[in-house]
Amino acid sequence: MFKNKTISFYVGVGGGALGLVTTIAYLAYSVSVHLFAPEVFVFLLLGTLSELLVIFTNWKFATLIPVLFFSLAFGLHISDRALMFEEMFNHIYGMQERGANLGMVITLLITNLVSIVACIVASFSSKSKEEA
Amino acid sequence: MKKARLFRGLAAIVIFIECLFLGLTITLFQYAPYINIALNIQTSKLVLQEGLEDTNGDGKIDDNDVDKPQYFKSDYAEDVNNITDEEKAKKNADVAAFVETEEEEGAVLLKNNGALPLKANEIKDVQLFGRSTVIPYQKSNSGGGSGGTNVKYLDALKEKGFTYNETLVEAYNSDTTPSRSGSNRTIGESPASVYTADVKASFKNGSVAIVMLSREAGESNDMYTGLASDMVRPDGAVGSELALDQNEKDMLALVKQYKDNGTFTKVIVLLNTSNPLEVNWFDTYGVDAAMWIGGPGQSTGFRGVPDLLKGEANPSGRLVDTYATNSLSAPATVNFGQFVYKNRSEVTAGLADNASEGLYYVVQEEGIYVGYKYYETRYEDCILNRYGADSDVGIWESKGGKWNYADEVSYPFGYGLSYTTFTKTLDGVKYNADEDVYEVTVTVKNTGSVKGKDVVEVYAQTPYGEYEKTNKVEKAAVQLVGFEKTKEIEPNATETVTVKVQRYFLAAYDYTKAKTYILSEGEYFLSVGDNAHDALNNILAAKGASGMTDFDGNAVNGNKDNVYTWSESKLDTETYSIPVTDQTSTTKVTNRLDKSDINYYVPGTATYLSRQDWKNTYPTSAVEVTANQKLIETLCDDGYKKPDNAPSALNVATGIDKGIKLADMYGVPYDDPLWTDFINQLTVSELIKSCMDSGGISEKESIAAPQTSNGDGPDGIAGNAYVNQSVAASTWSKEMLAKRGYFMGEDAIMNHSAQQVWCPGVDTHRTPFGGRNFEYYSEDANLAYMLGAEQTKVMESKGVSVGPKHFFANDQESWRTGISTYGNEQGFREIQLRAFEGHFTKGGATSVMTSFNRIGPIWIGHYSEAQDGILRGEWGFIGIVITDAAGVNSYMHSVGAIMGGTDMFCYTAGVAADGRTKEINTAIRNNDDGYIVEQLKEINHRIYYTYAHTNVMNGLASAYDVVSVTPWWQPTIIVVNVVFALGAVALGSLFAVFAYRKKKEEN
Repeated sequence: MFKNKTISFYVGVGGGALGLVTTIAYLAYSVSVHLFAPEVFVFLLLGTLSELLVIFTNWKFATLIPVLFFSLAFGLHISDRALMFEEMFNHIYGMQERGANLGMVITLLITNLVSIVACIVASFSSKSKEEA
Repeated sequence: MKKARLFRGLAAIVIFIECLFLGLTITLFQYAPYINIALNIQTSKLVLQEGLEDTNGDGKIDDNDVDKPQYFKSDYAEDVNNITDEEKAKKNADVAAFVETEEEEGAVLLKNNGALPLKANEIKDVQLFGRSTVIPYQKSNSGGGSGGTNVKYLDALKEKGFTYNETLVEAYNSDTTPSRSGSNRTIGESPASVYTADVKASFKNGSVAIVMLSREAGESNDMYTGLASDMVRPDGAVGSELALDQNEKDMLALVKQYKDNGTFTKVIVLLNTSNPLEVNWFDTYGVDAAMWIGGPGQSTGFRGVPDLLKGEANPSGRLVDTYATNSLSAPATVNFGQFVYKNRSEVTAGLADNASEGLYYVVQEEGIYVGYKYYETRYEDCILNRYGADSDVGIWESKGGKWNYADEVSYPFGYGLSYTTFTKTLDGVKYNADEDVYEVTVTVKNTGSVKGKDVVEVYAQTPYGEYEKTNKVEKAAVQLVGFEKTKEIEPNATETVTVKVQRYFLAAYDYTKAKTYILSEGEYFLSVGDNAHDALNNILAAKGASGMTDFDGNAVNGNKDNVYTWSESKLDTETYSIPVTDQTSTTKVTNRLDKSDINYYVPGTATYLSRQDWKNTYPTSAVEVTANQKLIETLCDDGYKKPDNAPSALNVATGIDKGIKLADMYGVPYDDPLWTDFINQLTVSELIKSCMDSGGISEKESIAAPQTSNGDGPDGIAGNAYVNQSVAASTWSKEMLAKRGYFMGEDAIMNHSAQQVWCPGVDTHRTPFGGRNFEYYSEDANLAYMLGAEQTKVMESKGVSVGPKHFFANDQESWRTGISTYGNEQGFREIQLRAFEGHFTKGGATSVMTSFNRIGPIWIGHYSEAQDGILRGEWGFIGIVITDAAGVNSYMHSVGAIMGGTDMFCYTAGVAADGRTKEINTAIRNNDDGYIVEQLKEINHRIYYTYAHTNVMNGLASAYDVVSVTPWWQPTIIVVNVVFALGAVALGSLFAVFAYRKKKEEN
């Protein structure tokens, strides 16, 4: 399964693995601060699961699927945190929402972004060295 | 194949961009109303209705055929519906000049040994000390107060002819240590290391040193008291944020060193802060003169400072807060900040809402003894040697184990010096029964050598006898009951001033027996003094007391001739049990806040400060509360249960078109039946929509009501910034507050915006540490009552629905969202509520913004007894009750709020509005609750009655229909999304074509 694969393939798999970490971290963090957004979690999870398609199938579109789901999670996460950013920017955090940890949110967004970049890199390349 | 992979990779990039853009698109649509405000986009427009006639005979039917009303006129515009840039510029120039005057009249001269005003030669090469020189404090973080000309401290000095040591300024500019921050609550003074040998060498011999010290708190951020663990300064420094910082001490020591060696001729201190600094160090550091300049605002206020320093303006401001030697000595301080129920886990388990919005509380054990009412009352009891006033409790600075006023207070409430001197003579007092006021006539004489303004301050003392002691009716030794500022008086000239004192101010709230306001039996005093302490000494003199001192501890005799006394032979529990605004009212002024007292739930928890036993009632530690089931259930109460007699929702008339437009409703009295027909036109959906503010409420085509604009902030609502409200209050000038209202009203008219505004700020400076003290008036409720009434009256006359905020007892920022604020009804009535009262009963305010906090365990938005009982019932308020920003806070229940007296939810757009709409809709549909629909109709009645008397009516004629307009950015952004999505599909298709063609070729 991992025989004779390109570096880009492993980069993509690494992105998927990081996506799994992000998914778990997001779940644990957002539930603990009562700021769980189901759509973010679902797309992170789908992004991670869809990486399995890349690993286990030879469907040529497969590498685009984790990009799509991780990107949706990223966009919706930013949308979900807009109020937090606004209140923190204005130094009034706690007015309409409380509990969020800016550092944690940014960390999650960054790991999410790294997964996306990794999956994009994989999309530019072949899965196996033979194809290349 | 390479080409195929390239297309797949590009498709991946475009997918990412599109998803990111989609997220941003959702966000932008979610907050669309605020985007529109930022872009100055209207979401509705007026269009001529069909069937109009060509009234002007020009052969076409257009706007020129319509007589557009100008209900609210501007003194700057010929036609408010067609305002020119020149007219706006003229108004803005006048505002800029006015703001400069505000600062000049609001600054308070605290100390002056003749160093001020500076002579012409002294304004050259001044040495500017303090990092605020380059980072001056203008205002704390909060809404409003921006726009127009923004002049900083250095710019103002230059403009007014000052020159200064550039090397010193550059040293501050180069300092890379963390600077002052309201949100991080750091003082940010530069360390001693910035004063290098080169810098010191630049100190010019024979120059004047001007030291500026600043503090900054702000919205969501109180100042650190250093008392509790959450109130300790993050930099590890010991003590409160209002004490001198080590860097400040080092700087002052350096300045003194150079004064002592003759380099500096004078040391002037400017206190550039809205929270009173502790200032018992003036003599220690050789300070010659000190002036409080507060927060000059983000406008032209700083221009007033050099004028004051040069003597082109003569200081006439008076303190609105007591300057305690140690800020922690106020009895409220120990119960200020973050306090959690002792049985936190039980409360958390019992709370249905977000736990952090119900876990915190504060108990106002000080009752009425806020600010000077504590210090002066204890002083009187010390002088009269009674009630254990000189005991060792509450001592912070007193020597010898006995409480001593002069040690505890640096400057009293109402204090302020001038470059000239005045005498005041009480000419007489007359009771005017028609107005129910005492007319106190005073002659002021300028006994100095320059012209200036003075303030006539009238204080009262009312009886504290057996009835009061038995029934826990507390009485301050003095309370401000009236004041007037003189005009500019020339040297040796006099001005006679008549101060009207409302007799109502002499009543006290008896929450235990009479359960209403009472006029006590016994001896009353009205005293004219230079400040609260001076007035009290006069009263003590009239009582024949001895041993009085001034605030510096010097022996004084008091002036009994400036005191008027009389006696009431019996207790009066009737007169003020009827609302002062309507003597025919059947509404009774009676207890409505019993449930706000922690002792109601857990008896014996709070011991309220009583002057009859200082030693055993002065709060020495924070109140600890263990919540019982009754309390937890009240914390969880969502505020509404459907009554048995509620009609079916289907039987409540809605959506019945009568062809009545908002334009037809200007001037229609509130109780006119036409309002019923007008409101009946709205559907349930529209009725709910009116409750959702998003910087205004959206248009309603069915009643031809355009979108409205709501504006925020005590220091500016529509395009111009003014001095901080605490500086405006320090003018002690009703005329200046009226002008402030006038110019804000002009701003609104000329912008055709800010129909409802959330200002002034009216909460109490309960302690000196309040994060938003800068935008609230004072520690004194009556001062806020009187000044607020003046500003409100004028603004309302300009078509602005004034909404004083935050109603009420939002006196701290710490855990303001959901904090339970406990107190007794006398304290709330005479302190927190009194400050608001004048805005409505005297100023005619037609809006009010409620607070985030709970009154007791009940959120104010659910608290019908306060909103409907006191505000609407006792004070006769007709208008809009809007919450504070109510987006997603879980304890602010939508149905409970609207049924508890709330009309509108502030800043509730997008998902938040959808959520609230659903809550209300569900409550109506699932329970077939017509009572809610009836309430919504009444709410819309209030809302549209209010807007119908604002500047939104300017230009709104019946000849117009209102149509919704989609903002240009929305279709644009959708197109961009579609383009990206199509791009991704196209690239994916290209990938497919190349990939599968290759495969086919290989096969």
